Amino acid sequence: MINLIRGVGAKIVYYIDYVGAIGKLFFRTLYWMCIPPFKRERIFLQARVIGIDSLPIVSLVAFFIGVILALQTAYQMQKLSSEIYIANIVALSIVRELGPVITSLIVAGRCGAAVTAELGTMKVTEQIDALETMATSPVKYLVVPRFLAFTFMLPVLTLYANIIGILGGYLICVYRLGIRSNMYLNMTFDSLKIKDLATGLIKTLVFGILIAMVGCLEGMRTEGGAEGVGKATTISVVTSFILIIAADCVFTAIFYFIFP
Amino acid sequence: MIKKSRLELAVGIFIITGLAILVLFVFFIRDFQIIKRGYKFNVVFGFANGLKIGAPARLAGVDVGEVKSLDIFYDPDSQKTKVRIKIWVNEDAQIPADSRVWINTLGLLGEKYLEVIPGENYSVLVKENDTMLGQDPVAMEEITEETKKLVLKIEDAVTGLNEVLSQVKTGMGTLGKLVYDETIYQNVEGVTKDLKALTEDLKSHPWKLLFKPKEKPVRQK
Repeated sequence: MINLIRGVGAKIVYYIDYVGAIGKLFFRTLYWMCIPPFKRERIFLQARVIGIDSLPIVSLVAFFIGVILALQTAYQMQKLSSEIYIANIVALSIVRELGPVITSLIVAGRCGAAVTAELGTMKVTEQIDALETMATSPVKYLVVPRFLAFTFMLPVLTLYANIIGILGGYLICVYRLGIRSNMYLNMTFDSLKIKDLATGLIKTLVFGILIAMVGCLEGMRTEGGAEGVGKATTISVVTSFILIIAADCVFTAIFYFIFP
Repeated sequence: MIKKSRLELAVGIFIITGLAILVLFVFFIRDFQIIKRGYKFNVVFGFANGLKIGAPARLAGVDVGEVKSLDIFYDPDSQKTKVRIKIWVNEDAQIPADSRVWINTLGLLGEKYLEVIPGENYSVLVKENDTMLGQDPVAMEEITEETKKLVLKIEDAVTGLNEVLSQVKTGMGTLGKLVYDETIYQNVEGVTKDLKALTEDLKSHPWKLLFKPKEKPVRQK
């Protein structure tokens, strides 16, 4: 019994500590972001890895999500013989929810893990210590470019995912369910509001920050050789997934209850 | 040096395409109420039938605006609770003051919208902050009640008819006899046969019509 309580307490302390570490890293990143010199090239390199290189897989998944959503909705809507509302449902679900979340999950799995593995390897081979010895802040040199790239590439990727997801739904509805093309597009853009798009993009900004912070933090505190790198990568992916979903829940609630 | 500039070019193209998609979305999503110019006016109803804020207002069947606010107030003149609905419409929507306004139902989920059928007198138009009287929608319960009454009446009528029909079926009454009793038919058939014989006789001896055959006087001896 004592052990159980001790274990639970240790976990709670661990998570509070974790939140503190993420917060500290976040503010250090913000601080170092404003200190010259600015290494533009490093930011662009990360932007390419996170943004452009993720585009094919994000597009593919978004397309499939659009197709699946249209078909699943059609299954229900055909019973009510109101297939035209598929357009609304597909557009709203993708722009408000699925586009941002799916994109973030893919980027977290693909790039967040890569960042942790990269920084973790640098940590266990003492390259990070070497940077500090040369009076270069590892936060400035390693974290800031990744942070910026994640934060600003994720909304752009989400925009691509939105348009491609809607395209997937469009193809199914127009070529399989026989809805007129113009009608579908009208219903899609009538049902969307600027607010829907904006909430989706605001979410992704936060998701990007979360992925970058978790990925870099796990990488920078990796210990114990190759095995430690593997462990850190796993923890990084799992944690960022959980945090993305949790943050999404919080945001959806906020947008639903406070800014309806 | 070349490699670096190509990297920046790729990222630039990626971001600019993303921004183009954003502009496309914003351009197609037309809900800029702020930029569009229009005016607001009030319509007073006795019953709002579940109309919501943001419901479309249609002038002659075209969406021209939306419901901005709903508030309930007590009207001391008629001693009734009434609903004041504030509507925003496009600047170019000209609504005559004698237009008819009521709350209509649309689509699958029964969304409510405001129907405005323009009136005749275009010399008096609705202006900013004017107040119009709306035509109250009939509550669904009332319709059901009326229908119920009507159905009961029809049922009464049908029961009466059924009785008559069953009597006819069993051969009672004049109508029943007319339908089921064969004597009339037989009588009529007999008459037509006689008539036929008569006309045939006449055809062959038309003179019978003209002359009365003289009966020979019977001599009395």
